[in-house]
Amino acid sequence: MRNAPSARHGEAFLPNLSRIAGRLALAALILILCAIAVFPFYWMFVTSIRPSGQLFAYPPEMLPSANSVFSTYVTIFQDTALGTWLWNSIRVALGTAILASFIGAMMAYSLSRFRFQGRGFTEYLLLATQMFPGILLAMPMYVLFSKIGLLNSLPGLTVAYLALLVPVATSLLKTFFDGIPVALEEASLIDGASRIGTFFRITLPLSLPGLASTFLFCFIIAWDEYLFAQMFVRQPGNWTVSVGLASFSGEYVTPWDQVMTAATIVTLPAAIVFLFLQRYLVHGLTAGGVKG
Amino acid sequence: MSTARLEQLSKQYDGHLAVDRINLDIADGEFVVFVGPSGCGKSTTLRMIAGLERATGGEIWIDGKPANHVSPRDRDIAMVFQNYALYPHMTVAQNLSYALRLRNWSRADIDRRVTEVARSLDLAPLLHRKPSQLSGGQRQRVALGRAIIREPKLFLMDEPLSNLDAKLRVQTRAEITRLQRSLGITTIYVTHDQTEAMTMGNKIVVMNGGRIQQADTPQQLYQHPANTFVAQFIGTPPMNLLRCRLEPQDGAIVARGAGVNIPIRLESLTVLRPKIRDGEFLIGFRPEDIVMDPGAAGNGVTGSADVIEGLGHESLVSVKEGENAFIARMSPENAAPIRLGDRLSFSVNPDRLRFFSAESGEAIRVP
Repeated sequence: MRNAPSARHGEAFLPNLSRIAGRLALAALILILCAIAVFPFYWMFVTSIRPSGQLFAYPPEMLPSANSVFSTYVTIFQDTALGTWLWNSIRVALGTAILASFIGAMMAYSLSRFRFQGRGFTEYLLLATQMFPGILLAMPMYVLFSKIGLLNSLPGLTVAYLALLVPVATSLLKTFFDGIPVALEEASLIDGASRIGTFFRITLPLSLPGLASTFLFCFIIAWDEYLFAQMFVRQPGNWTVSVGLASFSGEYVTPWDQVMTAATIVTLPAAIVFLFLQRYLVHGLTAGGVKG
Repeated sequence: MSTARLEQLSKQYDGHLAVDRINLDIADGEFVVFVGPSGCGKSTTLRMIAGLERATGGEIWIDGKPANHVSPRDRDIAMVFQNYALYPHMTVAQNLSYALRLRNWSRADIDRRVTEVARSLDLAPLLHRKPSQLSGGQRQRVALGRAIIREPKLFLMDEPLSNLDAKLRVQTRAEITRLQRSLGITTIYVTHDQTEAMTMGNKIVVMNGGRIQQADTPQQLYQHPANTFVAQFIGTPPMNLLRCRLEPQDGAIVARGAGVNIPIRLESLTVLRPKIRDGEFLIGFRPEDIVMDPGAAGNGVTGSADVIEGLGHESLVSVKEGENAFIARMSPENAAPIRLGDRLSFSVNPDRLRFFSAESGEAIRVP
């Protein structure tokens, strides 16, 4: 009995120590994982500013060299059509993300809120579109696009991306709309709003996180996409960055400093869009509206 | 000021009748409570009146005008939802003013009205908070405020108190009743809680299986239930129902069953007899309508004590005899000497006896 307090004290002390050790281990693990994730980007950047003579130095230098050159960042726009490709990609990715989110939102809302014949089947079809590998879709699409004159054009490429992404956007947003209590919309209808007014005043503001993540998802997929872009667009003037970037690898020589510079530049827009939208991604906007 | 009328109103969901041809007149300023077990069709009825569900049969009239095909926004009604349904991205003030903004009220008028309502509901200090920063009771008051702010024709409330804790529920119950009486707005209130129904409504509509079992004042409902369902749904504990038959005894007729031996008045017999076909019927009385009376052995209800529940201000004694069982309400002093298994005899107040058909459960009204 008399020993009990000190024993309890010891017990309390030990778990404390092991908890700290556990935390440290976890922190170390996270740091390592972060380093693995970030290193390629770091290496990309460091290579891009390395003078071309030191590109293949052995052993490789981990730190940027003292005589780093940033001139590639200027010359690359003069030597290649990177500017045009970037602009093409921005147009295609933005167009795809905006349209996919908008069309997806409309479809998802009706799937989530209305009962109609074939609703279950439609949902199944949306899923089914995701079961085919891209290359399988690309061939018939190529034939179709060539018949209706959509090849070699950025709107055509956008349409191709929409075909891939609208079903995904719809499924993503439907899950989101399903999470918004119907009672909120009913309250708005009774308060005097129309169905469409309710959609814009209540449902849409509450689904901003969902819309933001859907937009971001579509933007990044369209930004990175290579297969369709490479097949459907042949004129270098209409290339997107992914195709343009790939064209740097020549048959005999690959200018690694240019490739890495372009790659760094290409990563930026996606990062900017992400930074801009990330505050919506984390917020749970519906908190507190309804109980339970 | 307005009235509502339901005519043969029905709702069918995939072959299942949720609401089955109900008829009801709601007078101006009335506080009508729909009460019944879950799935009885009370919420569906309310939602049809609100216009959130389409009726599959029958008519809804609001203020003498057919409303079946009027959209919710044009019915001029307000509704309080069970889970409050406050707009989470708006502040309390914006929640309150939403309906006014949709009606293009001027800014000054909106501000004045919001301040008025906020003051009456004690919400003034909370106007700039979001719903997530409010307690359950505060959210409930905002939901009420959103309903009263534009003085609608009809108030619809769908179990608005079921998410509050017991103490707050009693408080808010009184608050809503007071508000309704002072505003005089016709109100339809849905609940599964019969205490809420009894304390709040002028008229109570008891529903079961999609049908109205009885629509009446709380007093009538309690004293003269239309059938065994109402008898057992209204009142805690419910009305005692004992199975018995008519039998002659010493030149008189008595109702006799397990533990039952009650003389029946002659004038009651003339009504009762033709309605009892196979001889069996149910006799009903409230737990407070019997008195412990050791001398009543052959002239009342008897049985052995089965469960004794002390509630502090009163005690409930469950008594069993064969197929019959009943509950007696008595003072704690009277219940104190009773031990489980004791034989108990009670005399029954003859004016409070009710009769029901054993087959259909319908009440048999006797003089």
